[in-house]
Amino acid sequence: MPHDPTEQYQDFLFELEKYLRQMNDAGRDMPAFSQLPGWLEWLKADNDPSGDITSTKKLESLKAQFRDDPAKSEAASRYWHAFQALQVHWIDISSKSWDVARVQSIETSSATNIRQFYDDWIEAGEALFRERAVTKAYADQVGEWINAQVDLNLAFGMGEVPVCVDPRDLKAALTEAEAREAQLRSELEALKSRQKSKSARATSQKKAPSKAGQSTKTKASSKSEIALKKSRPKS
Amino acid sequence: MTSARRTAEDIKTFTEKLSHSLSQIRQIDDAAPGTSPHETILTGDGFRLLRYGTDQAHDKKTAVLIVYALVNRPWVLDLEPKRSMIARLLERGMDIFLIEWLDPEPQDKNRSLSAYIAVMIDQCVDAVNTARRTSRLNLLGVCQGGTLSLCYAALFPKKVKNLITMVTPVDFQTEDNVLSKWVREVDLDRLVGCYGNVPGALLNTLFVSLQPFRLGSKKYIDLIDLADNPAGLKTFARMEKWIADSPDQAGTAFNEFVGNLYQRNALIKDKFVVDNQIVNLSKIRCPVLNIYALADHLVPASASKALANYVGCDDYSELTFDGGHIGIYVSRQAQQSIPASIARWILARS
Repeated sequence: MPHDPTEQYQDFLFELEKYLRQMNDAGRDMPAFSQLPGWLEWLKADNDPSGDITSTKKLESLKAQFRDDPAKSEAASRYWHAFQALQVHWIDISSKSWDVARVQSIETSSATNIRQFYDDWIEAGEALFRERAVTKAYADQVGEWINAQVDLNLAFGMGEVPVCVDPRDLKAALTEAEAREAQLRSELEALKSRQKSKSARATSQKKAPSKAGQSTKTKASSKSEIALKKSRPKS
Repeated sequence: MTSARRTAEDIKTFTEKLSHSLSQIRQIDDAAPGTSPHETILTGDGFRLLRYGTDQAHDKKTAVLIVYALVNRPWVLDLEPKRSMIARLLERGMDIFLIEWLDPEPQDKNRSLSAYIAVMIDQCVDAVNTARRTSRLNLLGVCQGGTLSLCYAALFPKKVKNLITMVTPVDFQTEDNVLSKWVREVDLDRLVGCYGNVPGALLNTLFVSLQPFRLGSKKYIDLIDLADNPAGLKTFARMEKWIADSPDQAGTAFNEFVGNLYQRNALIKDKFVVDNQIVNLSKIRCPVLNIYALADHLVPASASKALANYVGCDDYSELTFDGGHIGIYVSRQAQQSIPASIARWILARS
């Protein structure tokens, strides 16, 4: 059987990625916030099959730990599920990208050069990730992961649960209502100022009727200016 | 040599080169960004207004007020002498002012976008106009700062002479906007309730996760190419420092920005209310230069290009950059073209 260098690469990259993540985590201040799952999950799963990351063992131990506190237990369980769902995506993305890079390396004989292989893998991974990241399934999962993490923090006493959490449609209605209110207010202001200038004009007409023609001319010129601006072609 | 042995040798060489670069980067002790001389001319609640340059003949130059995003620090516009959009604009005879947002304290968690736009930016605009003895100025909004600048220009049209937006989101729900899709279902009330001010680290994690392979791994591996290149390593260290330094976000302003814009796209629907007024982009009648990057993963070009359909000015121009969201500030290519184009565009309208 011919030697497949990518098997050695996989072990090496696992160690490398672990190191990079440690280096990054050490330099960052991340209070009460964990990182999104990534391809390290896949490397972990592949390098340590006994510690199957999608197993429910951890979840069971979490539940057991907070048996007397249903809120904490529920929040921990929600977070664990959200994290696992993203891990599943990542195992799929990483394993597919690895396959793409391997096929490519065989076709181009670049597998004997780890740098070249690594670059091919990154490119394949980024392309696969781009496709996945815009899907509703993945996007919703990221949202759920953030919401679950917030719930977990709240359950453990961080911050304050808001007194009133407006449902999504109510929030949209509120945005509409605020806009309508602001619109009505600006229309009212416009009416008031029009009324004001009308009365001022009436007073000045009474005082000097000969100036009426001049006022009409100014109005007409400003109207044509507005028409010209609105006709601007939009690109 | 057997194939397995050759692979092992290859890995060994690769590791040695990477270790060499990493050991060099660890020795860099001064990677502080921000090099152009400047002074603080106004300090307010939540901001500092800086004026760049040492030239005493400031007032004879054309003034530009830069409004940077609330997320990340503005130093990426002045990273180092050869990678400084601010330095390039100064060289082209501009009198540069910059709003430096101060980190919100826990007690600032209820600070709203209205406070940032209608109070803080307005105070800075007035201060620049006072210093320059003018009534209008050139506003340059960068990224989220561009959205804030658009709101300001729509609400205070008489105070803005020319408006430049750079990698600025306008339509927040275009098909290729990954970040927008990710945050669509986030429960912002609970998020803000939990954290108060939203941690910069959360935003940073999301930003890096938009290009996880490149930003989480490849850029570190590419350090191999910078071995024995002290200048290149220093630039890398500065960029890393800038990327990791994400300020927390005032809770209410964050809730309004993400909720009204990313989740409800209210700006282009004429439903975005700031300071009790609708932000109507058609009220922007001053000349507008809209600059965006074609390979922007954070603010896709489609999100910025949309501006053409909403502003009310006759003099609207676009400038595209063949690169990404960060490259537009710091890459050599951008340094050569973007500030020169901005200066030319402004001077033609001064």
